[in-house]
Amino acid sequence: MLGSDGAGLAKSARRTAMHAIVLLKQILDWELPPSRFRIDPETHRPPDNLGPTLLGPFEQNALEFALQLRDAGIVDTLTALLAGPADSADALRKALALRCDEAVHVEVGADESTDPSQTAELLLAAIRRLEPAELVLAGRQAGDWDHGQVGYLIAERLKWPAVGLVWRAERSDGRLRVWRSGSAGVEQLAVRPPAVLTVTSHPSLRLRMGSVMDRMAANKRPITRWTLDDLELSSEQLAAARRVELTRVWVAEVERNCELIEGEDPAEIATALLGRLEELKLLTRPG
Amino acid sequence: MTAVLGEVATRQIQWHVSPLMVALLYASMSAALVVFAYGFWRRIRVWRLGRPEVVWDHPWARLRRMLIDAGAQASVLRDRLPGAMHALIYFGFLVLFAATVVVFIDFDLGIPIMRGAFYLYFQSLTVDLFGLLLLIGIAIAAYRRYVLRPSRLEHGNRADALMLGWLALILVTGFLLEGMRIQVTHDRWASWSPVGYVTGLASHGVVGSNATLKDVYPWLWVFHVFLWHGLLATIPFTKLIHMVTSPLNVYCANPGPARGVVAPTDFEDANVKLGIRTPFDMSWRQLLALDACTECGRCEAACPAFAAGKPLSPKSVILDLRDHVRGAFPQLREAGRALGAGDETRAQAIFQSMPPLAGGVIKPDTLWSCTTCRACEETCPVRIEHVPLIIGLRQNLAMEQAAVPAGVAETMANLEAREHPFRGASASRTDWLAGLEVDQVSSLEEVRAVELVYWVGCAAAFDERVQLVARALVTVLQHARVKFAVFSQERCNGDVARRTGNEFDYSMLARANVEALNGAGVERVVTHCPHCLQQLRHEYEQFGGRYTVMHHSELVSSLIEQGRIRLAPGVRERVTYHDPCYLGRYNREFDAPRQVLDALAVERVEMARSRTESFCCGAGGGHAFFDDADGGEKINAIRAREAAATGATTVVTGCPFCLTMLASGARAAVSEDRPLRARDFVELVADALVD
Amino acid sequence: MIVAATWDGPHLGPASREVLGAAVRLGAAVGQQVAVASLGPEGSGAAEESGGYGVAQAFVVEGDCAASGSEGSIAVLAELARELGASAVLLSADDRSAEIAPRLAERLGGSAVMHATAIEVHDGRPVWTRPVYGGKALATISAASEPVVATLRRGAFRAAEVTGGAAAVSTRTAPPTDGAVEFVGSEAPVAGASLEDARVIVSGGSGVGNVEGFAELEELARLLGGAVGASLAAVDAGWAQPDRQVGLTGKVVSPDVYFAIGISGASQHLAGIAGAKAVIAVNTDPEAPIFGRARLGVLMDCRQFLPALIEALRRRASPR
Repeated sequence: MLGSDGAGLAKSARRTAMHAIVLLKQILDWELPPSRFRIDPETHRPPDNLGPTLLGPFEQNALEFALQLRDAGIVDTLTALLAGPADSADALRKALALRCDEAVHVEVGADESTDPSQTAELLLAAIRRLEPAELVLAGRQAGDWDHGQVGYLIAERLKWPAVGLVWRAERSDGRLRVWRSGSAGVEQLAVRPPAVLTVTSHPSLRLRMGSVMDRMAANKRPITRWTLDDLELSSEQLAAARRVELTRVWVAEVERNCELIEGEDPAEIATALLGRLEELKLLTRPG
Repeated sequence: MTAVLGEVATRQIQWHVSPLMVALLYASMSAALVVFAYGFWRRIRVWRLGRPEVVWDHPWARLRRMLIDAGAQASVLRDRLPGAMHALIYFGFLVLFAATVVVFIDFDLGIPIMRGAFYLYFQSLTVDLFGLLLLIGIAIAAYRRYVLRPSRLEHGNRADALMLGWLALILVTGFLLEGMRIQVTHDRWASWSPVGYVTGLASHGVVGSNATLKDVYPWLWVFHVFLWHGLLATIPFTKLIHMVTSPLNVYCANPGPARGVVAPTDFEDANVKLGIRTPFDMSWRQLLALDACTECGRCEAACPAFAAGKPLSPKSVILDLRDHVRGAFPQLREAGRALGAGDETRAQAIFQSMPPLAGGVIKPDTLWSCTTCRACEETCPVRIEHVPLIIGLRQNLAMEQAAVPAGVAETMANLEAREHPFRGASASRTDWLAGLEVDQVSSLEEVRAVELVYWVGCAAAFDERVQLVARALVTVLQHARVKFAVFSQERCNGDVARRTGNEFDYSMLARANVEALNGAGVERVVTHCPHCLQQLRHEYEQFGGRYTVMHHSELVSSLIEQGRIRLAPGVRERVTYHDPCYLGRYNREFDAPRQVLDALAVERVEMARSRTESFCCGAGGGHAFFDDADGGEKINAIRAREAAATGATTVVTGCPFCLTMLASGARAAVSEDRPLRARDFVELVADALVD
Repeated sequence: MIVAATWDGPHLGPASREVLGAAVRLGAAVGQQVAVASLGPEGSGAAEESGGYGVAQAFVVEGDCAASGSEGSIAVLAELARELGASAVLLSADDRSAEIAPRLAERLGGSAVMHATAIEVHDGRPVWTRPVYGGKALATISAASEPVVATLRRGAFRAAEVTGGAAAVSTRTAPPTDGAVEFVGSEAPVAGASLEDARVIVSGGSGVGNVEGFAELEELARLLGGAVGASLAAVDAGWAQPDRQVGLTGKVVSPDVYFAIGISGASQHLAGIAGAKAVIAVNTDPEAPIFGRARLGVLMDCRQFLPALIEALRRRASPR
């Protein structure tokens, strides 16, 4: 197998086409109507069956990104990897329906931790068991806990470079030229694989539809299932990886005190609005 | 040879024609018939490539429609000038053909019917007049095609000119022959054939002597016979085949009452066909329809997408498919043989060597431009069904190639995950009920306790504007004390998935809905959305769902009639009613919404394109969920302007999508000083209620 | 020691001053001093300025950190944090710190807290509040291991107050990196004013309807002297560039006035405007969540209202 220093992995970086692992997560519908959203104070999580669970939005972007890299010949094999409870395999079926070569499910209990370090530890153990990869792709953050750490933690532990918030990549002289949204606008960086990329949302990264034949076939394709034992990870080791304690989670209160500006017609309302803005000193008087 | 024929009116058949020439006639006729049969066989063998389809149901309804539309030219006459033109040609041709049959019966079968009064009134007078009418028809056709030049016709085809000329020449030579005979034989009953008589006089005037006429006659006769037989022989090779295929297509067309229902796909089948990939996936009836097209272009003229500059012409879809199927027939025949022999690989290799139907022969943009409004089908005089073809091709694009327009993939993903197509909506399905006292039912007992289930649909749940329509209907129903409730297990009816070719996603939604509805014993449903109406009333049958479904216009109209709704006279406003495609053309409900409006204090005016000719709002065929489209004048803007042009200040409709589309079309297209509002008719009723 | 990092130079920008403010107050609460690491170009200016806010030590990093993406910044911050025995490293939450914070925390054996919106001190230890579930909920977390590397949301923390004083400034060179990441180039954002610093923002959502509607928003912004923003929906529809997106995964803004035009107010968007002083909402739906956040509202289709508002502003500017 491969050492944690990533040395063995570096050799495979000289292959021209790469094996990429894309990290998936299945989360509670992030478009759940706010009127229905609740947090259980005991579990620090929304109660079960509040709404449908789906492949997270940034994971969808990451998957589409991975598929586009494969279309372009930059990646030749794609493995989808997901850590979650037993009923979160739908996301993997979707990945299989889009022709991922392999799907791996690391099963964890339904009430499992939410600490990104522990998630990273789990996924890392799985990554080390898989075929050597040159790219690990993750969404920029998971739509539930919004930590945005797992991809980078994995990179750090593998001692691989990481570039985040990427939405486009091309091959360039043995490196990957990536476009990312940075503080200075759109930045271009050249990364030498093996590397971790976290993917952000972009109009070009809307997840494609699978053909019906692929979707039907996906139901029969195998998903590799690993438990902690398979990964040779004890629950003590996993517990030791925890870095933060969650003390309280609560639904943000929204206080409504909106003043509606009314009138007979748009022109009247517009004038009234401007007047009110001036009164509230939100708009300076002209002249 | 002048024979004295005594008192009985008749004429000598084959006058002044030698037995050799008569033999030539029979030989030529036989040859023509053989060629005709061969040509027809070439057409039939293309139809035989198609899937089987049953047309023995409803024989009387089909026959009746064929006699009315084809026999009496009713569908052709809907458009006046070309209708008249064709009716003249058609009836002229019929009568002349009948005349030929009469000759055959009298001469070859020896039954002396071509005598006496019948000879005078029919064989002479009627035939002459209809011959003239035929010529007039041809003249109108030529005028229309070459002087008026309407863009919807296929121009530049030499065959069209040739056929008109040829037909005219047959008529002219026929009249000449008749005239020459009348002139030379000093026919006693000449005045019964006025056109022939005049022609005879004229030819005598030109030529000078009867002897010359008599000499020319046999040669002209042979020429005329060859012309006619030639035409007969070439019928199956030209547009004229429509003489056979069009009435046949009318007979085979969908007899109703359900319209536009998409045939289900059996996903359990190991060899399931995902839409139309090759001509083998079309039914024989669809292949027949391709040959029934007369290239009249009415479908193109009626198509809203075409009017908005989109790359869709229903006529071109039919003709492109027809030309492809005819041109590729040798390869298709090969492939058919390979399939028959079980050689799948060889068949696939042949298919790969040809452009695919969906995406190749017919471009994706063309297919996706369609709003499935059925204006093309409604106006087609020979009852071609364009929309099932387009949807079948879309099915192949969507399900096999996974190639759909921007926005559709997300809409399907939204349907799969959240069971509604309104991406980004943050309401729950029942939020709109807040503050209203409406029961929600889901069990057998609860459903039995009410008269009606109100199927709300997704638009009212997730679109803020449409919520007002649902609330208005609830107000009206409560005012009329109707015992109704909302079904708490609604999910999207799936129409958007089905119309965009995503049959797989559709069938999951439909099955789930039917299971829920049947499990709760729901029987009587009212809905305000014509798409929900179409699905629940006609299409859910495919999954075992049979319900009595009313559109809210039918319900409200009957409640008004029963006096259960008290209305107050309000502000008199000029309104115009826009017929939604899925309510009007699909479900033939044109009157109820109008009756409701007439019970209100509004001045109702009609747009020129209304009822069966209503111009689509542009939302159908999934378009309400496509991403914001490219340039070209939008369909909804065209319709909004049409509504505003009537002077109406409100355009009233009965469909949530028409409502949304017309409102946004009005914003885009109508000027500030002539504002146009869009409202559902039930909102006007709710406004006028008296407590 | 609390370390605050900035990439500004030669002057401290508003985001850095907010981070400094949080650092100084946290330092006071836990009895630790504050040091500033200035990694930007001409960072000595920022380093010296920080002394005026009560910072004891400032380190100017020389060399182009950005040339290696975030690798260089992570390396030098790790070195500094170890040397100083930092218990916390604070950065402003942005696209750069999104990459840096988790890896820095891991390298130091500590914990990362992303997008913190509040810091409290219990029993001498900091407790962090951050939004979760797309902003629908808030969570308080405490670190199990130090140091904590935290990114702080714009507009959530009061800027540091000038206290006078000077910092001991020293320089550092960024340690060499393995060159696995190379900076190739950047394209500056297309349209003018930076959203994070704008005082007035006019933002459009799906209610705007089309790209022409956004042109109207530009006009409105111009008349108000503000910047144009967009919701995720509008960006996805192609009506605005991604760099205009306001929201949890876009720009987090804290203007004085935020016009939400045709925006329903999804929680991830509200999370991006948590720092806005006054929100003015224009929307057809009275139940839209944006009205829960707005100070003033107009219940009308923005496509009808915008032209009237623009007209009213024009008349106001040049009354005749």
